[in-house]
Amino acid sequence: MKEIKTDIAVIGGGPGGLAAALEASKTGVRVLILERDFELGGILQQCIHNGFGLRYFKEELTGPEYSQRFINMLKDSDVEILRNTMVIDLKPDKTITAINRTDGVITVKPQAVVLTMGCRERTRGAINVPGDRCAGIFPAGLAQRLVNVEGYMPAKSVVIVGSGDIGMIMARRLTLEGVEVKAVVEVLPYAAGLIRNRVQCLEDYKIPLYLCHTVTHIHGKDRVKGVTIAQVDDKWRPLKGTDRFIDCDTVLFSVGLIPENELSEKAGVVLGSTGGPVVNELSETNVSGIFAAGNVLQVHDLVDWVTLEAQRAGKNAADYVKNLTRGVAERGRIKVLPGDNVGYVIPQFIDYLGGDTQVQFSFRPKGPAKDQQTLIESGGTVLAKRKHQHVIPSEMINIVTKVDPFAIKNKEITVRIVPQPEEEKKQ
Amino acid sequence: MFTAGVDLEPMSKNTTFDVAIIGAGVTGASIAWALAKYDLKVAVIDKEADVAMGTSKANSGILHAGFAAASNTLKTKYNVIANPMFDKVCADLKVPFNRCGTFVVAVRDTEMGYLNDLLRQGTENKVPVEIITDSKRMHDMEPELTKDAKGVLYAPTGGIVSSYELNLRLCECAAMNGTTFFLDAPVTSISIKKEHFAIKTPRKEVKARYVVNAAGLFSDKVEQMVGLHTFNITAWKGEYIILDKGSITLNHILFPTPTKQSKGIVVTPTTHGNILVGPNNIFYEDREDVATTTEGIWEIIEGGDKLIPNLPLRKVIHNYAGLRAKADTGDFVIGPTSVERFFNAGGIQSPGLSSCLAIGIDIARMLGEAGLPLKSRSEYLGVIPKPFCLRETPLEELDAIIKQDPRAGHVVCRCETVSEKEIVEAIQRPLGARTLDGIKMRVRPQMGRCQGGFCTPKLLKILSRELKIPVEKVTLKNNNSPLLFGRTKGLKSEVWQE
Repeated sequence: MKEIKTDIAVIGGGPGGLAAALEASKTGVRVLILERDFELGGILQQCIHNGFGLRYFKEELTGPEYSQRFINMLKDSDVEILRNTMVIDLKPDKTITAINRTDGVITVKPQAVVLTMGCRERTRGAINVPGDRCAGIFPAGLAQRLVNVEGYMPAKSVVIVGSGDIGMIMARRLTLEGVEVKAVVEVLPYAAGLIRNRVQCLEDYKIPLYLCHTVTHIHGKDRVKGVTIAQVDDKWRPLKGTDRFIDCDTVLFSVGLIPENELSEKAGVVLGSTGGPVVNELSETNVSGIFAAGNVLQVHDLVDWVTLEAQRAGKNAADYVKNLTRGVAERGRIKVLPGDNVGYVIPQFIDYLGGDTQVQFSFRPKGPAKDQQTLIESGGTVLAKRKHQHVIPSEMINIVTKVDPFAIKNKEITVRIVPQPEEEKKQ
Repeated sequence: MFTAGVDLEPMSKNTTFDVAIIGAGVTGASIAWALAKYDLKVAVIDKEADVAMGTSKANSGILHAGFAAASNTLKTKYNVIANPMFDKVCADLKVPFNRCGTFVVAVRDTEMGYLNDLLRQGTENKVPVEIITDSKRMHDMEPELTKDAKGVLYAPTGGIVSSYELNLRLCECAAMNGTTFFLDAPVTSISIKKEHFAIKTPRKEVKARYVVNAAGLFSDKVEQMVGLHTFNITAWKGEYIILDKGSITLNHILFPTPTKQSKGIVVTPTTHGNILVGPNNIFYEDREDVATTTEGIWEIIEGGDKLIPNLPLRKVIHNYAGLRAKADTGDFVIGPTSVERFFNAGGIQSPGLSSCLAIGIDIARMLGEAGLPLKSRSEYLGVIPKPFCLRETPLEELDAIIKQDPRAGHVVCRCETVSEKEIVEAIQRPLGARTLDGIKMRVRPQMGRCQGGFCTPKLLKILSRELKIPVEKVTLKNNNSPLLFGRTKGLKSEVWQE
């Protein structure tokens, strides 16, 4: 069995892994990326639409273009890469077991690990959609891979369940390939994905979006023959008498993404409400020296945020290896809690291990609202404030702010989204 | 093009088989397995493109102890004989099996009477059973069990078995010993000739001297093809949800107290570490309608919740349904008929899986009594070597295997950790997989939490390469279930090669 020693092992070579590896490598430590696919870039390789990089590169790129920029930078770095390599185990002492065709079983013993395994799609089964189990039922991302990477047509006429970004993007993509997109069905009263995708992928192509609707049955013994959809009440229960049959040969599901943390759990990493690890401000999990970034930590709206988050995790992992982050005396953990209209906040803890008081808070609102403000508070004192014209669950909010350790009361910080006061709105 | 289904035909076109078994579910498979020991020409005919495509792949996967039915029924007779056989047969055929024991749980004082009835029935059936009322003991044995439990009937000989793998391996064993399988071959008529039966299917006519009807949900229809009408089948749907590995730990199969209609909604571990909840019991006109329903899913969630409170529903990965073939006689229909050399093994609902091995052996005995010469086969292969399984292989050994066969180091399915080697072997084995469902049933890709979201393109390509058919010709379960409608951008249709 082959053994590899390295300073930092990055598990997953998608946008998160690439950014973390590059940033860590810049500090001079040895970095190894373990990638299960035959190429780097992760899910971006199948995202051939544009819209990537507006924040990070200030220009509009396709998914493969965005990842290629990092892959090119990697060529000039000392980062080592193992492709076609599947990590099958991760121990709390950070020992990694991986396998591939040429090396057989590989043991990697790094000083630090960055988890960047990304996420998977929520399935039809996970949301208990009843009906037949026939051919023609695909997660939207699988259909995207079949069309964009493999070059096969999975549909002639399709109903898309869920208005997540991948679903809306696939509505446009399949339309362009000549598929009849009969409907996008969304249980929420608003589109679940980004507004720009609703406009550019559905409205521009006159694809009907049925809000407050759900699929109550998938029909077809061998291949999909159609779906029954129905309107729902506010508890998402189908309303009697609103059933309608839509004939189609394919159903795509775009009903959310789940951070993929089965490996993290093997190492004893504790998961939080995002489905990703609970982390401190350094993106370090409860297991010392294991960091997490990108969609494995929280599902992002834009890849640009993944890059920034992973760069920080990569840098922090390098500092860990160099013993730079344990110089400051621990003040005891500060809990970061979601308050009004906030679904979750990353990080869940501040440990002040880095000696820096700058913290990036990432979170999502639970529901849409206009003229809001975010308040980051401790014991009634506002530590930071940010105004928003509107907030919507599909858009992550990122606030970087200094958090004065001496301003914190009861070892707790709360992040909440509340309406702006009337007098401030007018300004 | 015929892609799904196989004909393993060592015989010439005009072969008259000694025995034809109609139905390749677990009953037909057990009969074929029992007959494979003898020097006979046996055919198995099934309407589906693979074996184990009906009730045998969508059930609770439970080996019943044998305390549920009256002692004078065939259900009890075969269940009690077959139960102890599972350890050896599953070991020989490499079928996942665990004799974990059964709990029947009374959650109200008024239900304790049912436990006493079952205790009496079990004792009469000579099945080891005891009633546990000590709350500490039952929760030590089953920590997640509802605190409402007033008492449980404990049957240590109950177990869990992978029903579709048992079905497959019984068929594989039969195939290794020369049994011919005609798949994708629905029987349309049977004519009684002087010396044999002529069994018509759209693809082929099969001649056989003896016929065993193991046609499950259609066993009454098959019987009618030879002019008999001794029973009627109705289809009773049972729906299930399945939870991911690691959702909760269960040590036993948990039953509620039974109703007149069924054994109730069970919460059980599976042999692969998942948790299964179901089934309900609803009559359906359509004997092929295995769709799940909103009402059904809620019914089983509520049912499961009575035994294990707060089932972790966010760990649900799939729902499915199967149909029970219930005979109006109230029991299994097994044995010779008034048509000479035509045998029934129909109406095999629960405990059919638990009884199948004994039914197979008994049908073989009855065929012998009816004149079929049962001479032992000189070179009988009764043990299947353990196929390679990545996740069960120690690392040192795995490293050596990968050096020999690099495909063992290529993980295709990340959720269940399945290598390309296992998938290729599942295709190449006797009665190998021809479809995505065939791969799923044999070696588990698409069975896990992503439900094929990641591995499907790879599976399509491997099936294409191994079966030498274009990728878009690969199907889900039969010729009517293609996944793809051709290529984009006018790309050429082709067999995939790396």
